[in-house]
Amino acid sequence: MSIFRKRRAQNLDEWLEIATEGLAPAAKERIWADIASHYDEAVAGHLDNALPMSAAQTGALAELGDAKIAARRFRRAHLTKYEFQQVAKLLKSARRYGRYGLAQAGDLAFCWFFCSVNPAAELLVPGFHILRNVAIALIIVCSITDFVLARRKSADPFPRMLVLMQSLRCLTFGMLMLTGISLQELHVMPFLMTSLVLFGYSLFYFGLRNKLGKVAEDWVGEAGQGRHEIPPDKPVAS
Amino acid sequence: MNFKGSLATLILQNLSRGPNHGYRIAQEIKTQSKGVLDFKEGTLYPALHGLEGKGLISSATREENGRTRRYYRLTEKGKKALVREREELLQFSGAISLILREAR
Repeated sequence: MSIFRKRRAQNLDEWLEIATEGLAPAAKERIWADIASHYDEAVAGHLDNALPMSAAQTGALAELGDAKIAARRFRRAHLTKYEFQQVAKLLKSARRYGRYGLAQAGDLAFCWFFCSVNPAAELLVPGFHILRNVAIALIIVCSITDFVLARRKSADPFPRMLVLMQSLRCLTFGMLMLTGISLQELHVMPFLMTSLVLFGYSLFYFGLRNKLGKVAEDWVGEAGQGRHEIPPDKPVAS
Repeated sequence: MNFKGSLATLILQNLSRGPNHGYRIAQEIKTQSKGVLDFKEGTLYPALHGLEGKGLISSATREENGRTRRYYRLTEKGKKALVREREELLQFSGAISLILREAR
């Protein structure tokens, strides 16, 4: 059997498995409920038209169409599992106020260290001085904003803000790494690759921040209780 | 028939007549178009969820005849979007039919 053979759904469960593959738990739950209800209605409709049960089920499944096409569209309308995990991680670390503060201090220390071991005089490209100053300003803004967010008892209403800060932080470190390219004594490639990866992450988080505004239900429960959020490990420090 | 991009407008138009559930929305669009707009129903839900994410429609579940149905309803933002998009689509289809009529 070829591994490239197209996987086709034989029944509703298989169709739903394919259509919701890799989606966040709340998104899966919502889609399963909606599609299952639709399928039941369609089967009942076919039975009313005097079709036998098996033909009614086959017809209803065929009317749903290709599960892979639906999966691609659902991934645009809902959070994926990976995106969900990234937001969960950010919220989790924001809730651990003490550790979060340490991380912020670490960011600032790294920034200070990077700039002090790479003094401006050694930079080959003069324009990179501006880049570095912008990066330093951004990291300070990010750290202060994150502190303010983490000081609140619950960071839940601010996942978009936290994700935006993460995007800015990646952008900042990417910019700092880029300034490293212009240093005479260091290799260009490691700095270039690291900065590119960080810019990629920055874009990913920025996209995620925009997506979070459209997929609120995947994150917060219907009653606003945060059904699917990951519970904090430790009580929040007062 | 492929009507990529206009499914959202058709959903909004359907909901402008009152709250409706997914299955009936699909059936009504097919019936009203006399079967011409025959889309796969699995693609209806990503569109519905996307519209809900944008705040153009809202939804709530309701128990009916032993079945749980999710009813979708147009929001104020959705009503404004419908007026705008309907106008654009009518202009577009009018322009296309002008060109095609000339070609006959």
